[in-house]
Amino acid sequence: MLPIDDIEVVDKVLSGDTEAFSLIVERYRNMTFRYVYSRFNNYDEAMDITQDIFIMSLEALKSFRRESKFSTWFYSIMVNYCKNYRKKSKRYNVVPISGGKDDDEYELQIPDDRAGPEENVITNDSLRIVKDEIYRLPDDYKEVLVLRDIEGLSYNDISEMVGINLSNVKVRIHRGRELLKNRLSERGLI
Amino acid sequence: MIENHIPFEKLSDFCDDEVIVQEERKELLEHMQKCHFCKSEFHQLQSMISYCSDLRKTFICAEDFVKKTMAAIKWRHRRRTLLTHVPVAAASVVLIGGVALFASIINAPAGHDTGSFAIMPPSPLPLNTAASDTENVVGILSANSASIFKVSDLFIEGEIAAERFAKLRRELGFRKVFYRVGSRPKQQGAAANPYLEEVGSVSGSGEQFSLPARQGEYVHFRIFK
Repeated sequence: MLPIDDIEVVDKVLSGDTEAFSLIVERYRNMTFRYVYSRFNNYDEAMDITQDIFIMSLEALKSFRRESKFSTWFYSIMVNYCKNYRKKSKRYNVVPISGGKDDDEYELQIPDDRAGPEENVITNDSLRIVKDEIYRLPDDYKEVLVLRDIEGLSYNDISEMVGINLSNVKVRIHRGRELLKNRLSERGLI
Repeated sequence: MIENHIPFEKLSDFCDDEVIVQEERKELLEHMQKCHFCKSEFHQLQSMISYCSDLRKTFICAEDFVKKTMAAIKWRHRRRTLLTHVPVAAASVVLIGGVALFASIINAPAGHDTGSFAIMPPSPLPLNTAASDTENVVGILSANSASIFKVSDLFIEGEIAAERFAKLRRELGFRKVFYRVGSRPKQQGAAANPYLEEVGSVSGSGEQFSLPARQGEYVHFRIFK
């Protein structure tokens, strides 16, 4: 049986089958979580925000005009939500319950198909450094870098989602990569 | 030593397969074969992108996330339904209660205690709301066979047999009435008695009024508006 596509799910949800929205949540949860986590670097906060993004997108589903792909529409909601959340948290000085960025307890999930436990530990540490350095990037660079190099989205999709033109997307990606490369190089990772 | 290195943007484009022109690709590859700096930069860039790509496999949302999110969605939906319908239901209850209370007040028998509300007892007069009060009083007087001597802006003066006065008084309700009991009826058309005194005047509702009537006596009255 062919997997049901996003538009069909949207139609189902709009016709009253809210339960069908779980398919959307299942499909986009990891990507959304990664993006949010890279921006806030706190597991609990990222989980809450990810959940809020899904709830908000469900409520806004009627405004989806089908002029673009559902994924692009959804990601643009995600990007905007994070921007607004950041502004709001700056304004109200929101402090996550689980603490600051240094005591985040999230353990990276290393796939089992890698080599032995020692190598897993090395990989885990390396990825944690990469994650931390991505988090330290300026927001403008981090935003597009995550979408491009972690999620593998096209320049065009990123341009549409973030709401900036294509050449700006490229410039931000290049500068973000250069900055990240230099920092990882300084830390002896690459 | 090669002085002109490949700009980082070009290397970045190359990694993304954004260098479309075949000749340019060839030139870049040839340059990197000769220039260790650019080759190293390119490898570092590839390595960094590879790490980022690995993050995709390792940053995973919690397993029960879908379940929790759907539960949150349902909870919000229920709450919204509740918030939408409760005020409407409350307004309906208030409206129905108000109407019921109003109906009970309207239909309550005279003198019935309706609780803490100060309710005026209904007038015993079958008042015609379209008619003026003077017309109503004249109607009551006629119905009780009373003689009317004078109708002014302030009062209506007349006379009635003493035994019928108590009934008349009750029917006049809240109206203020001055009266005097006499033995002879006053003649119609005679001048109004200027010495009519406030003897036995009543200004209550008149429901409990009674007059020990004696045969042949008449009551001369003024009913004030």
